[in-house]
Parts: sequence; structure tokens; C-alpha cells
Amino acid sequence: MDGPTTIFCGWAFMNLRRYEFLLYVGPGLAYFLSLGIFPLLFSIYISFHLYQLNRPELGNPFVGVANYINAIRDPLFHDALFRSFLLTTESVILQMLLGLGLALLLATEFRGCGLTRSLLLMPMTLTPVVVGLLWRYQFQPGAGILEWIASMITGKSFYVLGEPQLALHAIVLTEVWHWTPFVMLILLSGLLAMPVEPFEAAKIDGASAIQTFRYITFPLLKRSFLVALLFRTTDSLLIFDKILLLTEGGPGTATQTLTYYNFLTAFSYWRVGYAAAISILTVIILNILSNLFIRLIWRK
Amino acid sequence: MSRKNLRLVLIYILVAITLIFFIFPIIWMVITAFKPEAETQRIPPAIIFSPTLNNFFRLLGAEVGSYHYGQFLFNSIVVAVFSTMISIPLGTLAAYGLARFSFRGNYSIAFSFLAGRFMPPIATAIPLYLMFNTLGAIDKYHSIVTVHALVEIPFVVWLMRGFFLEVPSDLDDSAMVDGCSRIGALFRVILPTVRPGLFATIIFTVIVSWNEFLFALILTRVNTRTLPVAATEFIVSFIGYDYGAMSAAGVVIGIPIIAFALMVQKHLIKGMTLGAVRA
Repeated sequence: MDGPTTIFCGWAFMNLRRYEFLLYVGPGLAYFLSLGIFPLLFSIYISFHLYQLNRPELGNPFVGVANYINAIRDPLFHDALFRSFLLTTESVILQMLLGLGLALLLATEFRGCGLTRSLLLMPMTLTPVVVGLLWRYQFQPGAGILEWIASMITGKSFYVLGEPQLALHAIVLTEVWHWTPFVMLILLSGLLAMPVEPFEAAKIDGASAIQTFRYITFPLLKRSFLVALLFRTTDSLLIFDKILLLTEGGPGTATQTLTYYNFLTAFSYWRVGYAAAISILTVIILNILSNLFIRLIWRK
Repeated sequence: MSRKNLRLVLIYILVAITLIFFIFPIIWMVITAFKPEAETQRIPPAIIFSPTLNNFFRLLGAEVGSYHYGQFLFNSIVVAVFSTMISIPLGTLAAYGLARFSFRGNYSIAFSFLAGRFMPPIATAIPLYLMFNTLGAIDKYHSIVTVHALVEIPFVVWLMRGFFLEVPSDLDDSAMVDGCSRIGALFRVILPTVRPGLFATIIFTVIVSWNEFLFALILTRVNTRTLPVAATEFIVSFIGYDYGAMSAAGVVIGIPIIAFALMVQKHLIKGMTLGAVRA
């Protein structure tokens, strides 16, 4: 008599078992979606409306794609985008080259190599704001040691962060200082995890050091390179705190990068609808870029 | 001198240059923090001076500028601790689910969490500001705590997922055969097994929250402002620089984090790359 009930209970139980994972993944996913994805959808909505927070009398009328068209026409946005790409290219290339050099250097065994590796952890864990303060001080004429040494070498004293042609490169220097150890440690762990056999074989076959690097080390390091590139490229494109601390976007607009300009439009000019449109464009750029890397790095 | 010795000398010279470049600015900041005010702007710098704690007292106790830094230190700790208390349980459970159950969409969910790490913060900061502003939650602890927890979750999920995958699932099964429920197996058997990893992840979320800047800048005002945001005052609104107090602020913000990072040294790169680098 209780056949159907049993079958039903069994079926419900089986189904519950199938969804048991929700018990674990559900809360975290719900939190992530409600605070991460929902605001993003809201932001897309905002980007199609006029949101001028300092002029509430205008209301929030639907304006279609006007904000996006404004962005495409806005020379300040173009400059900021271009500057971010420039800064990223320059600083990431320097970080990768220096990082590779240092990784190869520290992969050799010498007394104190463990200590050196530990000491080099320090810049990259330092709070970005502190890195900003630290280098602002170093660049300051009459206070910074770096500026003092530079002025002794060149014979003249000048404020690097106040020179439109140099300020962006000064920020690159700060980035290189902050993140080269990070790149170095990624590549170093790649180097240390390498199998010995191919290198022995290359030695027996009489390969030169350059050939060994080109045909064995480099291909084996490819994944580590990609990981370093992914993190450094995406974070560099979004640089914000160091810009605020070192130059506040100046002199003039010489160091206004993508996120900094976006921040200004939203929280200084209060053109929030327009700022949302810019930020959505940023999301699209970043998504394309990071997906490309993620696919290469984490493919099964 | 033999070739081998020459090579070793060359290595030491290069290592010395590297260390000077990367470590000197930090050491200099620490030294400046202990200098009397008159010494902080002397060029060439005095090698010998009488160290003082004055900068720290001025920073944390009395007033530098218009602010009370002791309060901001407290805020930073509160935000780091409470956001970790949200992100660790939620993220760890999610990581366990993703590591132990095979279901359709497992990878998509895992990769959505990963993609969260590469989301431009400004894109969520703008709508979150509007939302919290409407709710009257600007400059309240709960708004910045919830957002920091959101920033930490991708790290927790990917790090813990990696640690769980290193533990064979036979261990769960045998615990369940012995009468544990799955939750019981997780708490009594699996979590104790991955304890070092869990510890590293906790330290890591604290670092992430402590260093976070953009959300804190936008969502906090004078009551809940965190240390990094407060420290911008040295740049933005000061007339003349107070290098002593500025360096002291740098030490107060930076040194605890360096100490924490050295504690989890082995997992640091793994953490910063969300497990992409395994060493």
C-alpha cells in the first residue's frame, strides 16, 4: 500500500542528494552574486540613464546610449585609456625582463639565497598606499634620497612628478619596484619546479646556454610567464592608488589613467551615469583580456 | 681567481644591487619614522641622530592634521577581522562543494569566482556607492565589511578549493562510513587536515582587506575610515609635508602586513595568484 509513497520519498531523496552541493556552494555563491553581479547589472542600467548627482533637479531620465557615445567622443577618456595602455606596456615589459633576470639569478645556489628570497617578498606585500607615500618622499626635492642622488648625477634638481613628460615614467618606476619581486617569485617557482632530465640531455648534446634557455627553459616556463602577465597586465591597467598618492593625475592631466579618470567623473564631477558607462567599457576590456589568459592558464 | 669564484663574486654583486634597490626605500621609511622632525628634510641626510618615538605618538595619540589615527587603526582591524569572519566560512563551504561534488556547472561557478578577482573595482564601486547611499550605509562598518568580504571570497574559494583537492576524497568517505554526516566529516576530519592551508588563507584575507583602497575610499568617511585611506591626507590636504608622521603612518600600515606575509611565506605567491602557482 505504501508503495507510491516510498517511491516518491526515494525520488525526492535522490533529487535532494543531487542538489546537496547547493548546501555548500549556495551561500557563498548567493553572496557573491548579490553583491558582485547584481550591482554590475544595476550599473548597466545606470549607464543608460542620466545620473548627475550634484544636480538632482534633472532627475534620472533614460538617455539611451548617449553616455557611451559621449565616452567614444571624449578626448579625456581616450587619453586616459591610451595612458593606461602605455603605462601597462612599459611597466609590464620592465617587470617581466627584470623579474626573469632576477629569477635566473636567484635560482642559482649561493649562501644566503633563502634570505634574499624572503627579503624580496617585502615590496610586493607592502600596502600600495604605503608604496605611494614612500616614493612620493623619495621623489621630493630636498627630502628624498633618490632625488638627491639623481640631482648629484645630473647636476640639477627637479621634481620628477611635476614634469608632464616624466611623471608617468616615475609611476612606472614605482610599479616596477613594487611588483618585480612578484614576477620574480612566480618565475622562480617555475624554474625550481623544472625537471632535470631535459637539461642533462641538452648538456650531453652540447647545447649552448642560450640554446638551452630558448628551447628548454623558456617553453617550460611558459605557464609561469602567462600567470605573471595575467596579474600584472590586468592590475596595471586598473592602477589607481599610486596615481592618487603620487600625482593626483597631474601635472594637468598627464597621469590620469583609466580608473583614475573614471573615479573623477563619478566622485568629483558626480556624472555617475557617464562614469558607469566608462566602467562598463572597462569591464568589457578587462573581461576579454582576463578570459584569454584564464583559458590558457587553467585549461584542463 | 678561478672562474667559479669569479662567477660567485658576480652573483653577490648583482644580489647586493638588487637588495639595495628593493629594500633600501623601506628601510629609509622606517628610519625616517624614528627621526626628530628637524632631521627628516635634511639633505644630505644625517647618519647619526637621536631616535625618537615622537612621530608615532603624534600620529596615534594626539592629532596630525584633523584626524585621530588611533581610531583609523582600530577601524582597519575591525574591518579586516569581520570581513574575514564572513568570507572564510562562506568561501570555505563553497570551496568544499566545488572540490567534492561533480555537478553540471561546477567549473562555470568556480571560474565565476575566479573572474571576480579580475573585475575592475570601480565598476562595482559606483553602483554600490549609490545603493549604500540610498540605504544610508555610507560610513558604516557593515557596508565596508560586506564589500571587503566580497573582495576576499575569490581568494578563499580558489585557495581552499586547491587545499581540499590535495586531500583524497577517500578520507571524507571513510569518515562518513564511520558515522559522520558530510558536514561532520568536513569539520571533524577534513578541516583539521588542511589546517595550515586554512590558516594561510585567513592571514591572506586579512592582508587583502588591510591593503584594499578604492572601496574604502568611497564607502567610508571620518568615522569608519581605514588607515590607507586616512594616510592619503598626508598628500592631499597638507600644507608643507610632515615626513616624520607620514613615515610613521607608513610603518604602522606596512610593517604588520610584512610580518603577516612572512608568516605565510610559503603560500604567499600561491595566494596572490589564487593558486595558479603551486609552489
